[in-house]
Amino acid sequence: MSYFLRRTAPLWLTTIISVYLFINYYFNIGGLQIEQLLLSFAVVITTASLGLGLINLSRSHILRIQRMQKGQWYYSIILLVSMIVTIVAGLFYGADSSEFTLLYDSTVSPLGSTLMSLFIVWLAPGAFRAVRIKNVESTALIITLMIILIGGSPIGSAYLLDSLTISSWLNSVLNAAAQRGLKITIGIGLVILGIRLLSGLEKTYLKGEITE
Amino acid sequence: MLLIEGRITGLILLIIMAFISIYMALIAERWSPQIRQLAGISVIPELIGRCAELGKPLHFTTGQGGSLAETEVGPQIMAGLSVFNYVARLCVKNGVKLIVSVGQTDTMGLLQEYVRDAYTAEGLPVPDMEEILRFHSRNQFAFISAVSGLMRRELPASNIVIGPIWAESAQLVCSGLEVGAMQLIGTARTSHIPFFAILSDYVLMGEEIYAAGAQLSGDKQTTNTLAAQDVSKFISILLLIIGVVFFTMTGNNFIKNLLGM
Repeated sequence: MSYFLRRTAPLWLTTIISVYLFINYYFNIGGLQIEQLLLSFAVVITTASLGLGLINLSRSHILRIQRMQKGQWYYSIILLVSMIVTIVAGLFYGADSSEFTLLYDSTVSPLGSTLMSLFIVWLAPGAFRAVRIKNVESTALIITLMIILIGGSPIGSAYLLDSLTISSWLNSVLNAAAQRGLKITIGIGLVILGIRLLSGLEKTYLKGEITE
Repeated sequence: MLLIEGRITGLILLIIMAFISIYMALIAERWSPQIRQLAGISVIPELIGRCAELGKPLHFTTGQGGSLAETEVGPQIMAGLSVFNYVARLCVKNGVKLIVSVGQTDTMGLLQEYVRDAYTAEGLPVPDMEEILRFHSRNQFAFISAVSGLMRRELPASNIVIGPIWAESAQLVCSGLEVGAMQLIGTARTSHIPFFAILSDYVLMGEEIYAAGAQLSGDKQTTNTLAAQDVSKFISILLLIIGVVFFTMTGNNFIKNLLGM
């Protein structure tokens, strides 16, 4: 691929489109409302890229079946069969049909809910790691954690009103302040990244730009 | 051509930030401030070295949700891709097997190009993309189940996650913990940063992921723009202090009204 296609063209394209969207956001320029068209390009590209994902997934699992990969090939068969059945149901009956929704509701939804409910199981190792006194910060974290736990529990809110007050203060003042601080800096970081992209200074996302 | 009401102050602040950024980039050859090296970025060669020493693969993902076209998550994915471009090169150079879990299909083309580029740069034949890039699903829990399973089968020595992460955060990082992977996680999703801070070895918090690309580029002009980020932070802090003091003393929401102009 030529240097122009690899670097110059994407940089210019990024800059021109970004400048246009930037002007369009701040000014009433009227008559040139092509931002919806640009956004629809994005939607089309994202949807079309699903095809790439489908090809990758199919090839990857077909390879596993061909190689009879130990402990995996039969799962690949299940996946491919499920995928084909879902695609066929969607194409022949439509995405809103009862046949298609039945497939989705009886498999994906319950599996998703099960995994969501397992979230607490995954939190346990985190909590275990967090409640270890190592230094001043971890001690402060444990004290805060205990107050929040007591404040959030029925017995705490029933008998220890002060802990509830402290708990809500910790949440609404300290936690909110820290979260807002983070959000402000994220916003600033985002803007500066935008400026770097707009001015062509950010190039690490381009092919062939990294030379460690 | 008229300015849209409510966006005037935003535009002025944006122009100030752009001016500082471009000015810092222009003076880069003459003067560069001392930029703090992000621990999470400096550790990447160590993560790859660990994989090389143990003869195990490195797992990378930018998460499953959103797309590059989305305002909030798009830049996070972009930051992840910038890091991946660097990671891919280092992995190929050190002969480390790379496994990438893909959830956002619109990144697939870019990821393929980075991998192909990394192998070509080292003069090596490009392997099957399906062995490296593995699209799992756009569904949150299907994706994370696949990643968990993959980690248990492939036993990566290092796990790098840079991008938008939702409720799959705990399972993602705990899977890495269970297989003994050294982990670098970065996200700008504030509600999930605490999990990562506790469970992973290195964290890139919020704005740090956007700075990662600049730091990795090693280019003076680009790294100098990070100083502009700090100047903008000082301006924000100043506005906050003036606003709080002014409101406390007079009860007037002057700064808030000014920002809302």
